[in-house]
This record gives sequence, C-alpha cells and structure tokens, in this order.
Amino acid sequence: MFHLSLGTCNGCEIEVLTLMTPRFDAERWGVRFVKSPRHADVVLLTGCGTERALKRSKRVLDQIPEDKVVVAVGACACSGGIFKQGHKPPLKADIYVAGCPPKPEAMLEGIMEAVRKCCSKD
Amino acid sequence: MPSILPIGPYHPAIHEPEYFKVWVEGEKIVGVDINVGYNYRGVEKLMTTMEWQRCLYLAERVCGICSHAHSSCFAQNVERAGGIGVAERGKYIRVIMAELERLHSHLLWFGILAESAGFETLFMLSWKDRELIMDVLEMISGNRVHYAMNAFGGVRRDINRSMGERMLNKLHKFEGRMEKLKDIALSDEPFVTRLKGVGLLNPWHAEEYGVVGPVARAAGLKVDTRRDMPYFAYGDLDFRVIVGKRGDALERLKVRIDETFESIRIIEQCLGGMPDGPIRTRKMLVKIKGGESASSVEAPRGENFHFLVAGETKPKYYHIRTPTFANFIVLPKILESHQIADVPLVITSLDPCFGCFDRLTVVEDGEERVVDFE
Repeated sequence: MFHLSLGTCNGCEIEVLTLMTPRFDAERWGVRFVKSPRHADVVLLTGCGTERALKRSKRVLDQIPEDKVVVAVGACACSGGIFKQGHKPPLKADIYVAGCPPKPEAMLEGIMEAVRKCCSKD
Repeated sequence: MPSILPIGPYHPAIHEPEYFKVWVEGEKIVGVDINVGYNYRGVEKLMTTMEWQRCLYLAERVCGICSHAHSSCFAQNVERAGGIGVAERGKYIRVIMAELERLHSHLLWFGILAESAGFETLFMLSWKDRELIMDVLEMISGNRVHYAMNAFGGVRRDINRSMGERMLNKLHKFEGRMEKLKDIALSDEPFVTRLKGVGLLNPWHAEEYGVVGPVARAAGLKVDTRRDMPYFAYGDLDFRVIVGKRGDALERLKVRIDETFESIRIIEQCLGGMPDGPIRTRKMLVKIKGGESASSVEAPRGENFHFLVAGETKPKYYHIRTPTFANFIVLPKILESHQIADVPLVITSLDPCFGCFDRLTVVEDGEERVVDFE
C-alpha cells in the first residue's frame, strides 16, 4: 500500500498513519505501507488535489504497477470537500471512504475491500 | 562545486508533499532551499467567500493537528470584531480542548521523532498511549480530529461531571504511561546520543528569526502566548512555562515531554474551577457590524496569529500566520554543516506541518497570485 498526499490539512494523513499503530493495526490483514510506489498494489489518496501536487503526483502514480486499486480517503479526495472551489476535480478511485476525516475503522473497511479486490484479480 | 540533492516532493521520510533543495559537498550540507506550495489550498481566499458559520468550519481545516487552535483563534477574532461576549464556562472548555490537543500533538510528534531516529518501538508505544487522549477527545466532541467545539460566544458541547471524572481517570493513566515513555526515551543511550547536538539553534538566532513555541523555548527563550497575552481562561490558571537550555533536538524532546505534564495540571485546574452556567451566549451568527481585529493563540507548535478585516456577513480579508511557518524559516540556518543523514531528523525536530504553512499569497498591483519559488 502506498500513501499519496495531494495537498491536505494533515488530518487524514495522521489518521492514515494511525492505521499502522497498535490499536488499529492494518498489518493483521497483511497490509503494509511501502516506501516506494513501485512496490505498491493499493494507493491511498488523500487531499483535494492542489495544482502543484497533482502535477508531481502524476509521475508517482505512473510508477505504480498497472492493475492497482485506488482508495480515496476523506471528503477532499472523494469530492473536493470544503476546498472544492478553485481546485481541479479529484482523481478517479475504485473505493471511496467518506468523512472529514473518516474514522480509522472506516478506513480499515475500505482497505479490506481493496484487499478483496486485489485477491479477486489474481 | 556543490551538487543538488532533491528531497521531495514525494519522499519516504516526509509524510506530506514538500520540496527541499539541499546543496551538498560530499555528505556535508552547504545550503538549503525550501520550496513550498504543494499543499496550497487557498484557505484565506476561500474565507472571503463564505459566511461566518461556514468560515468556522474552514478555519478548523487549516490544519488537522492544531484544528482547535485555528478555529478558536478565528472565533476569538470574530468575537472581538463583533463585540460578542463569551460565556465563562465556554472559556474553560476551550482551554481544556486546547490542552488535550497539545497532549495528542506532542505525543504524535514524539512518535514521529522516534521513527525518524530509527526507534520504531517507541513510535508504536507513544501512538498507543496517544489513543487514550483520542478517546477523551472523542468522548467530549464525538470526533477524533476536527472537534467542531467552537461556536461564536462559547462552545458547542458541555463537559458534565461524570465526563470529567472519566476524563481525569484516563488522564492519570496517561500520566503514568507518559512517565514510562519519558524513562524509555531518556535512558536509551543510542537514542539520546542520536539526538544530542543535532539541529542546534542558538537563542540569539532563535530571536533573530522569530522562532516560536517549543522550538524557541528549547533554545532558552521564555515565550508563551498563554502567559504573555492571556486569552480565554489562562489568566486565572497557574502553570509553568518550560524552558530548555541547549536548543538541540534532545532539548526539544525534553521540553515537549515536560509540557505534557503541565497540560495535565492545567486540565485538572480547569475541571476543578469551572464555573457553572451557559456554555455559549448566542445560537447563530449571521451579521456583525464589521471592523478589524487580531488574535493569537498558543497552538501546540507555538504562537498562531490570525488577522481579520470583517465585513457584515463574511470576512473582507483574512490572514493566518501559523507557528510552523515561523519555525521553518530557520531550517536552512540549522541544517548548515550537518550531514545528509540528519536531514529527516532535523526537519522532524522542528515539528513541521505543511498543511499549516502552505497558504502564502501575495497581492501585487491589486492582482492576487500564489508565489512560486522555482
């Protein structure tokens, strides 16, 4: 799993990081954050997609192997959220987790759905 | 001839997109350029298009970690400009939320620092204990990150007696855990050696660059908005301002750990001395007379300053100066003559929050544009 931030208020980032810590521990399902986009099967998108971040993130997204599953986390990544005005529409995703920011439990559900999708592709 | 080493905008050591251009000679750093703007969401411009009630939500979303600091600073500004009184009990609840926020923010930073120093276990332990505070926050407000507690003239939700008792229980449990964490961190020889002398900041440089918050206090400056310009209920409360001596990463760690204990003292005082009565003075705010006002609040990372030129139903102009922006300007100075391996550690030790400081807009000849550093 690779986490890609597209310009946020930091709320979703912190909650995404919480997923790895003892209480929520996504590693139970064999999910692990990777440091390089080339190793990822799932991308977690957060943020409303600011102009500069989108420009750079395109290259990062292109490095991820083709049949990736994209999970949009938070209101910003789903629909633009409160920063909708003046920003480009966010990137398309396979799974949407709503909330500002979503509860870690909701994120876990999204991630489990992504794991299921990945498994069904093989 | 120094060569350029790019760090970011997407880099494993940094959790948010930001670009640092580092000039290196071998392993030694000779210069740093900070290139911000990847998180620019145009908060200040958006403010001027929204009514007061919606602005409050937007102010909260300047930053996810110090969300209460931003929204209370905004509320205080509007209350000052519009001459709205604040309920006494509301002021105490605001202080409680602010201190809880400081607790969770310092713990979060503690974990990230441990992670970037390579002490993964401490990262997990501190984030585990942080959940205690998150539980308290969720109990009071129903939310973990954006609490939506502030309203104009007070707060939205009350803290009743049984809540207060449960809260104190959790806080005392947390205090015990924090003592243990402090012991683990400061008795671990490799960890302490890794932090000692890294990211050194002299008091005169701190003063020159206008550094704020725990970074300034660790360098030996006694600055704290809570003490210097008391707001809300801080004037009635008794607390210590923690000041360090050497301004390195280790001292910043010590200052922040001690501040968490002080925050627990403040919350205890608030719960004990909270006056009864209403928590807010009005239900809705649609129109105010307009005017100008400025307010600053001590966010977990330092002084958070907001300036407002108010219209009747919405702000005419809004300016935010976040503590992270004030602290980050000093980064090139600190990083000089360090090794490349120290970069993530030094950046973390300043407690960066790019979400906060990416809002720079310049008005030139009446035309607004985002500054590009490239």
